[in-house]
Amino acid sequence: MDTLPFFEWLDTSILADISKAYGGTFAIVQVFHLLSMVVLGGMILTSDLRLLGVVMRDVPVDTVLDNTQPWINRSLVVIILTGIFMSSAVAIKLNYNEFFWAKMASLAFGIFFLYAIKRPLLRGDLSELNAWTPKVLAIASLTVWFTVAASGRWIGFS
Amino acid sequence: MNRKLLEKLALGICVGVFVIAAWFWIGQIIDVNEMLDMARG
Amino acid sequence: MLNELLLSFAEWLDTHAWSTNLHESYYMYNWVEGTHVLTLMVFLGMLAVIDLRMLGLAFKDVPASTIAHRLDTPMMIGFVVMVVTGFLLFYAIPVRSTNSIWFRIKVVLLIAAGINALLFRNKMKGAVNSWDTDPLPPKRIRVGAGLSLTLWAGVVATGRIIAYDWYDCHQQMSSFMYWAAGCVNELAALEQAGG
Repeated sequence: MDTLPFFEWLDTSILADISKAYGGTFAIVQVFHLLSMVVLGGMILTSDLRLLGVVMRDVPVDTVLDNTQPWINRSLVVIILTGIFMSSAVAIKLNYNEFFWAKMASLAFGIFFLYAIKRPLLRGDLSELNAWTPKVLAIASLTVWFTVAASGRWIGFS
Repeated sequence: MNRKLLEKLALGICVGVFVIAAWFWIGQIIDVNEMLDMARG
Repeated sequence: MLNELLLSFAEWLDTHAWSTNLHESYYMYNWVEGTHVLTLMVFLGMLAVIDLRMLGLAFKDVPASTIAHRLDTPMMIGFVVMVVTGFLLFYAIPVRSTNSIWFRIKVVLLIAAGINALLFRNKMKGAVNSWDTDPLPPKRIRVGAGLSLTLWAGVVATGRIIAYDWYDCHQQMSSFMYWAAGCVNELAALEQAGG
């Protein structure tokens, strides 16, 4: 699949005009991207560490998952919107950046894993599952989201 | 979907995640030589 | 005076071979910087969960002190990693950081956030027998939590913007900005030209 036309289009879009004309706008959007990453990371870390039995062992798993989910949803929306804006500024370059593609792939997978696998499976009575299933899921989830964040940081380095 | 089936599917996917993540990070990032150079000063 | 002192300290750090090595090592520098940024999610992520509870915006059905206590250890682990990697980053690029207006604002915000955290901890101690299970904590607690989130957001923002050279010493700036950023030599040159 040739993705270049999409990035060429993004490169000439109004978003790109704004982000290239005003350097300050890009920096501010970047800060919001980073701040929502902090919230997303904090909520995912809290829920996965709870599944692993590392933190909040005296709070039911359901309670932790239900309380973190709304903030995961909100921060994902902000991350994606600010991310689209940021990518428009360097659109053509990104098409050739392997870490950008690693990030997009792991992000897409992370969202699928969270909403289609992890949440449906862990909702309800956990005693029906193997005792270590939630733990394995938590480690996989941490691995995927770490890859999303770390490869994002590496886009800037490479 | 049957919960037991979903559990098996989930665990299978997790194994895939671990394999791909290990390949990606170990292969892409860690450059042992560079770190040794650094340690030598 | 303080500007001169800070600059000569930074220049002294800059003469260290390790400082140069760290700056010039592509992988090591990126690992340290990447760790610094990613640990944000551990330290500030945990802090955000606690502060959102104190604002009555998350975990309303869990006692406030439970959230604060259970997340304290991972938060402090994150904090230690951030401090260590933060010092390493400063050590790698001492002169430019010292002469960065953003870095200077960041340090001021860090101190403010630290003072707020100390005051906030004391206010939190009163929680257990009074408002601990209230979905919406008292106003003084919410103000402290809001202030905490705002100050730390400022720390993240200024930290990120250090990377931009808009107000670096090599730019044409007013004497106030040269002074605020600690551009000692540029300020002296400007005063000589003007006076």
